[in-house]
Amino acid sequence: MSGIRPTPLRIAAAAAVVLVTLALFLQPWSRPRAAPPGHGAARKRLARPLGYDSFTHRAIGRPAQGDPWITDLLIVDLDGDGLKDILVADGRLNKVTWIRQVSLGVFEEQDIGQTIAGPAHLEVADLYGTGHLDVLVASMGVIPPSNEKIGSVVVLENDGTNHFTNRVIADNMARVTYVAAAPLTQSGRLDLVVGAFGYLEGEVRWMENLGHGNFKSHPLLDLPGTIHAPVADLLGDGNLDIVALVTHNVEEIHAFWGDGRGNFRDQVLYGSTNKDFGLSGLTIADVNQDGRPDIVYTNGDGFDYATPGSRPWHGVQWLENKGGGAFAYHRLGDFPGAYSPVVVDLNGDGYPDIVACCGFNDWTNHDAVSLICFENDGKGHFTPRPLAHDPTHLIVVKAADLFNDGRIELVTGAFVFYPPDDRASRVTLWEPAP
Amino acid sequence: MTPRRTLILTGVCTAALACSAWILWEQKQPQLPAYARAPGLPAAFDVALKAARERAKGGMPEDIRELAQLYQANRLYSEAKACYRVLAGRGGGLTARDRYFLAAMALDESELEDAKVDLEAVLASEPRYVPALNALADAAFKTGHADLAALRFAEVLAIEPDNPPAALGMARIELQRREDAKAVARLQALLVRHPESASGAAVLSQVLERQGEAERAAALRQWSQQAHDPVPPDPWLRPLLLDCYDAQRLGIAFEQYRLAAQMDEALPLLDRLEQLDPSSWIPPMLRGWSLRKAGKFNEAVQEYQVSLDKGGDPEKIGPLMGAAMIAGGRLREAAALLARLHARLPRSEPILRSYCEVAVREGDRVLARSLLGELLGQDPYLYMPNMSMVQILWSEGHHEQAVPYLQRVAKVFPADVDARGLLAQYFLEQSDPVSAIGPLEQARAVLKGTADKRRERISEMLRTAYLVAGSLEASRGRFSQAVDFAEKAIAVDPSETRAYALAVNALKRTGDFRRAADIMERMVALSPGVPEARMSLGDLAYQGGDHERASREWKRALELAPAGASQLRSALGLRLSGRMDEALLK
Repeated sequence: MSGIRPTPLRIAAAAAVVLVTLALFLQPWSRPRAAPPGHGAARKRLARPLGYDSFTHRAIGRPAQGDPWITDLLIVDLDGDGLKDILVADGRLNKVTWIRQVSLGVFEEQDIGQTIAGPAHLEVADLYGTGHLDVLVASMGVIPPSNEKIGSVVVLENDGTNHFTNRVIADNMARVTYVAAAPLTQSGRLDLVVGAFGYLEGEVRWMENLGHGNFKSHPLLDLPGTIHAPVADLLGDGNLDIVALVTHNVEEIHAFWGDGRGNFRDQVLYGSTNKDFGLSGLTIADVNQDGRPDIVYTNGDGFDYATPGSRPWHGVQWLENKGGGAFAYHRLGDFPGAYSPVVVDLNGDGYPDIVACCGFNDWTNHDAVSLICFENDGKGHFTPRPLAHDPTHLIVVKAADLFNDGRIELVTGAFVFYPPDDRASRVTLWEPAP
Repeated sequence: MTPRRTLILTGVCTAALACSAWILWEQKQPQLPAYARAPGLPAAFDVALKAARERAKGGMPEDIRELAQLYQANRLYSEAKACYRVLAGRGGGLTARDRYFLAAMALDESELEDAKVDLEAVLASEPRYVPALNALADAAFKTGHADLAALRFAEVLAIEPDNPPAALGMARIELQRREDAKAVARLQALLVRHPESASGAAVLSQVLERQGEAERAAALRQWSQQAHDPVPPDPWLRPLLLDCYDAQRLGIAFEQYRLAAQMDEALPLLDRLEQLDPSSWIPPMLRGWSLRKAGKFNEAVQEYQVSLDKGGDPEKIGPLMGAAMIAGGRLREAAALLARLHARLPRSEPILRSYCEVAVREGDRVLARSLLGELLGQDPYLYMPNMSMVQILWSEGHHEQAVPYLQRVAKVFPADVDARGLLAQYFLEQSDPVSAIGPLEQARAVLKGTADKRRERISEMLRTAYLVAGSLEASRGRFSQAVDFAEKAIAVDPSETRAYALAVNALKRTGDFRRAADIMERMVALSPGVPEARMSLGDLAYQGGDHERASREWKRALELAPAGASQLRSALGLRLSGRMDEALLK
């Protein structure tokens, strides 16, 4: 530098360089970015991020008759043969079917029990302590809107020989959309939580198991629109609570805080004042791995109006359980027509990701996404990774290691209510691409 | 370098630094959003957007506000929020209305904490703006702060004592607190003043049903189904609809007003929809829908035709048009339209369902049977098509053929009474009362506690079924089963003397005279003044070994026997004189 004479031009140029450097340094986009993914030696990450080529898919079970109305799926080893099967609630055929994994990767579908009107939700539980899994079915009566008292709670009782017999536990109810079994009291018996969507009228109740197949109903909420009411110990006090997603005249998530003796206190945890918010699915899982169960939910229902379609606010969110009954709301991201959130470590990096499917979208647009994963970096950041454009009309997705190989498979069910149906499916298995 | 040059250079550098700092500061200031063509919105929006952007570039707050509202009205919330950030950075800052608009977006997006902050700011300067108070109360309730919500709802009710959203909100909080009586009183008062509050009627109906007031609950349920709740007025947000170019949003707003029967608000939205996109098939479809609801069937059909001509979805419009034609008495035209559409879209279930309905209404049984068969082949458990098929078969006397359809309905509709009634009738006609009993018991359980006119008929059929089944069992020598049926018939109708007689006779055949006497006593209680019944009761008691009771009943019968009833009096005399064997022989 000592040999260079400082001419005005050179000084101006140097000043410009300094200023540009300064400007670049001060610009927010020039600041050091967040640390790249990778979270210690214990975490392993797949070479490729999740995307459209992450899964191959194939139909399983029977082919569709007309436009399928699959309302729920459940992955469970029903016959205890070590291979996971899939239970299907088929609202079109008014049946519960069992897609049985007869050998690794080979599936055969059969009906179980007798006809059930508008089956909407499935759970399994050994309700009577026989050592066999019974199937709990929420029966709507009819799937399309109706305010009639046509709902019922049905148990498909398992005699241990893969033979199931229908038993109606409660009927003459508003359309029942949810049932689950859990020990809500100290009786040692499994009680039931029941959600009835109804239409103008509906309810949440719990049914105390009095033994010998007798149940006593206890009302919890006099509102229509419940679609999910899972049970979890949210407070960590050893007592089970009920979380109900209510979506009709109101859009709310209720917690019914349990005291372990059958008493519940209702509190709205979160909701939307937007009546068109379209809450559509809810699950409970520990998203941030802090030992407390969080609440993950979707809003994507678009069935309500004559001019259907997704809304700009449709998407996926979670309520972080901060402990002591406090929850923090986090939006994960937009996803038109979002349904059926599932918390699962899909990419094998050790962090729970969130998968959701799309029941409602502009299916004339072949770019419309039907399956997505919000990839968790373990620091509270979720990146949307679209997984598929078709099949379309996916209203339910479930995840499990179906083949006992440490990899996660997905199973989806389709509810085809609106055209076009040219890319529709019934039940689809999604296997990780090789 | 001379000092002068050094000075100049220093000045230049300082100026350059100052410029750079200003540029950087300017860059850090909120900017109006960059122009982008919004997908899904019509060209008219683009024109309006460009004009609004040009005005906003002048930096006048009102122009920026106008741009923000244009974005917000068309659900481009990120852009709208960017405009408000620009406004916030200006001297005047954000007004109460600006904060209200921001709150409205946050509420739409379920960002309730943000919304609450904005709404608190609104109420700080406009404490009596009821929609903001209600919104804040609602947001508080939905974030688990019921107590705060109650305070805000109370503020609304102090301003407008009859405000329906606040009254309903307060009732919900009371129900949550298990203060049912308060909630019921509040909802009843609400319905007196606002009978259009369908949500209030629905909630009250449920609470009353839970409390066992079935009839009032049923009446309120009926009430709640008349129309939807009115859309609460919100003068500040109202202009957003005038700025709206989003057909879906306008369509939804139309439906909300239409469902609440607020036609003055609804119809202008249709006009706007049509202005925005004259080629769209949605406005004529919605207009047809509202005309049909208003009973203007021919005009509705015209609108539906326009919608179809504009490329509307025939699967959606065809059934609506068919229904309007049916309602207007134009059955043949409806049949022709749906036949055409069915030929074009044979897999379409909505069209096939409508076509079935027309064929049934036209009385074209051959066509109706064929179409119903086709439809039920696709979807076996549809209620009306199954029952229509039953109606056709039943009226033609093919009761047996109707049975599978009735069984299907009974299987999947646990609350259906009609199918069960017909099934039972069929089984009774076939002298198979046992098969009739199941459906009748189910139907009776459905009707229990209601004022439904079918209840009496079902009970009568069930009583008959039990009696016939009992008689059949008795004739087969299965007396204990016969008694069970007779007891069930008595439970259905305690005044049915034939049931008592059946039970008594069956018990006599089994030799259980004591139980027979007990049942006879219940029968006697129905007509305590009939001496013959008293005598029979005495006989049964005697045969059961209870001579004292027998004697008591015979004496009572003798007191009741008219003076002219010589045979009866003689028979009783024999019994009372201990010549029972002789009496029984007689």
